[in-house]
Amino acid sequence: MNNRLLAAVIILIVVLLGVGTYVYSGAMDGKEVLVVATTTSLEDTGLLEEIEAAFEAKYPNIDMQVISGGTGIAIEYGKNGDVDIILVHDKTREEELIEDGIGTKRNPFAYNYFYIVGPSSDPAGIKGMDASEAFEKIQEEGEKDPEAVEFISRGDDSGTHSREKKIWKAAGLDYNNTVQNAPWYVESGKGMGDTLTIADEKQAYTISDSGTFLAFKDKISLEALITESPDLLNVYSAIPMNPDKVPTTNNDAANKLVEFLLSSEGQKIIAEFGVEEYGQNLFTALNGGPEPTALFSSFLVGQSELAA
Amino acid sequence: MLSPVIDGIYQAINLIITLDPEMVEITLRTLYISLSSTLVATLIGVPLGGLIHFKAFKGKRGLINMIQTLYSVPTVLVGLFVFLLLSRSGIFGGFNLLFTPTGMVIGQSVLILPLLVGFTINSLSGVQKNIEDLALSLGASDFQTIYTIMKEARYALIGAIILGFGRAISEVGVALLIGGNIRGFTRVITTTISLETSKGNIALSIALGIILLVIALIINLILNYIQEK
Amino acid sequence: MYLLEIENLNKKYGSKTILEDINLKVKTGINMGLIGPTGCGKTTLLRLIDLLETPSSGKIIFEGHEISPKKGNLHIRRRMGMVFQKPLAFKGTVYDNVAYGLNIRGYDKEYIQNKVYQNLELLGMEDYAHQNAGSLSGGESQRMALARVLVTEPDLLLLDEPTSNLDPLSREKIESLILHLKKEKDTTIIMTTHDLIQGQRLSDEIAILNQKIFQIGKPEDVFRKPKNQFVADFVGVKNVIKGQAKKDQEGLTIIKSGNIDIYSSKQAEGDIFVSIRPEDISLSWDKVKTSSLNELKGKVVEIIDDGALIHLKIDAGSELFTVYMTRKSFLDMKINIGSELWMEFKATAVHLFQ
Repeated sequence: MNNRLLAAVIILIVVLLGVGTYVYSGAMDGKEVLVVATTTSLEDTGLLEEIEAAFEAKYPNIDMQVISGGTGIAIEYGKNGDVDIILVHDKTREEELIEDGIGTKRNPFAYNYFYIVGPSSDPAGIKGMDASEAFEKIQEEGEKDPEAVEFISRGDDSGTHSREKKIWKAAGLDYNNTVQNAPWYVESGKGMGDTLTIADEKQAYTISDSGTFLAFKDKISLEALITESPDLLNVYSAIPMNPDKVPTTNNDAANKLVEFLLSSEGQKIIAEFGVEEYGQNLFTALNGGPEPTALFSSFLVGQSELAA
Repeated sequence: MLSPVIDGIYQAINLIITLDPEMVEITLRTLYISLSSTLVATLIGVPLGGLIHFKAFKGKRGLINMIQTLYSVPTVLVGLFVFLLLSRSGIFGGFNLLFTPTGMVIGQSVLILPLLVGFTINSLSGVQKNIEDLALSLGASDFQTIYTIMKEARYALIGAIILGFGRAISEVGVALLIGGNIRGFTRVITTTISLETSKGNIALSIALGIILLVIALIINLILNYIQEK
Repeated sequence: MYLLEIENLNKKYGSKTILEDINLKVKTGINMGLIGPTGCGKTTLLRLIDLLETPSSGKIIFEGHEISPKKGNLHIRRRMGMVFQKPLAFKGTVYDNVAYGLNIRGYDKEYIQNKVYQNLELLGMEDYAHQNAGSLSGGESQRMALARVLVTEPDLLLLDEPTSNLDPLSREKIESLILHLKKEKDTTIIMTTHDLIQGQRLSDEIAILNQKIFQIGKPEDVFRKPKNQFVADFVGVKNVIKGQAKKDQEGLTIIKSGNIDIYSSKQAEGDIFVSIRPEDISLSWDKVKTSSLNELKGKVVEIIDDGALIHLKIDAGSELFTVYMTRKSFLDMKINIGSELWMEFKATAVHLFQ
């Protein structure tokens, strides 16, 4: 018994050391680490995986590690100094971050549109409207019959959630009082993929970034009802952490990633991503052009948001 | 709604037969992290439990109650707690352990430590008081006596270790918060299941779930084999 | 030379006194029997000697050095061995159990193996070596427990009720082993028992214990001459009579109890107990001239046939006497209930105690 137990423990330790070495060797052997926090849409669609592969091929000495979460948690990681660069899509909060000096610069590198998706029967009849009109209609119909018309929100402070709130505001509705507690309004508290799945189960409306929706299209029966309203523009930007405020950051590698994302090589990956699999590109590359500006139809949107 | 399950079983078999490299990698990493945390928690928890069992001190009952309460602490809470410690702005930020496998081992060790301490105390209490007298009367030193009692409690102790390992390999809160689910670095089976489900890959999630259960079964069989010897 | 001395030892659990003012000296090589009723503190005394418990006060001295359960006594503990009343086994085989004491002492494998088998054989247990210790019967467990202690060759062997609740075969094996140890190995043994006959048969000296020690001595002395009422009652002394002792002529003592006068050759004065062993009393139909000073008349009130001996209860007025006689003389004398007989016993057969 004694010898056997001892042997078992020794074997266990040896195996663990071996596997541990293996686990680390893939990622660590002398490489510098670049920790990237990203919004889920970039990771879940698989875009970042391709970018990572190309980036690591170009800089074999850098190990890029991707942590995906909502824009909210990504910014929090950035503030703590736990990541070196964030890839997010919430212009207002991004600008705050630059103002506070935590991020160095917004570097828009891709865009697409948020889609308002819903059951193909479109019980609220929103097809062809622009986003804020559609939200107003959903609210109206939802109040009439919460069984038939429901809206699923991420409710997680992500970039998508933040955009959704802006659209409610543009539709002239008081988000906190009128919308959030309404019987037809459901907060999932989850990522985009889960939220789409829930909306599909409940045959409800939701707002999704186009990339995730396209990646999910085959698995759900929901349809993209509104796709190109100017207030649905979704711009992704990369923000390296400021080494003056966050001293532990690997600013050098972060800047290399920004450079790579904006390079013709990086832009080509973005532009072509998804064409083969989904028959259309999921993201539009900026290709050195100016950042497109979201236009909100309603006058209720504040001036700061209208300005580029 | 059964088709994803059947699909999942089919995919699981396929992944296992073809030794899908990503699956192998994730599985090995999962094993490494969970076994390491079980080992660390055992090496700390069993002696600590022994110390608490064999020492008489004030507030012992209260301490044991507190340890038992910690059995049911939510994994995300432990994850958050360890996250705050390991974050670069936290106390141990300087060690750069957040978003690393080592960080996950620390987190899971913290998670299952109360379980191991508590169940060590339980299993030692399960040994008849007479066994201690018997060992002493046969000329055992204090250390040999403690060793003898531990040996008498070995069945229950191995049970505690299996339980700890089970909680470590099946939890997702710590793995996600401390590991960050970084592909090729900190991604383990449970975080992959969580990710794949959110991506809508139900079948793949089920396949990974099956693999997790198979691993747990194998580990339990091995430990049971040792136990029976 | 005393191997073990106990001085003024007291043990209390909370306010409950278990042992009170124990004084005991055990010579090397003897077998000391601790005899007392259940709950008298025998087991506690053994545990105190074995350093499993701490005395409330008093000293335990081993080969002239005071010992206590505190640290640094390993070398003393390793010279003692105890067999507990309740059979106990470590998880594992009989072999594992018996080898335990040698393993922890760090002996080499070969030595251990020889020793273990040698002792298992001594107890008729060699065929059980590879059985699971948990599967043994009570008697087998107890024999294993003895083997487990004997392999360590203790200088002082402590046995707590070694044969209680055992089957006759195991009991016999263990008793003969104890006698063997005494004779061949010169092992000092302290053994508790509630069985007087066993204590008498196996021990060189016995101590009658009930919270305190009431009497220590050779078995025949304790049985024949109880020093006090408790010992007399406990060892089953018959014909105990309470009376007042007074000096008589020629170094004799006269004890008056009711209408009876008893002469004793022992010296005493005042309130006292008298005991006369039933077999020391002889009976006759007529008052005959004998050297016995004590002659009492009584009527047979009860006849008990014990098989070997006939027990008679004889009413002598203020006292009821028990007398033993052989079947043959009982039949020869043709005694019946109501027979009036003379009891005669010598002054030297009259034992006095407080």
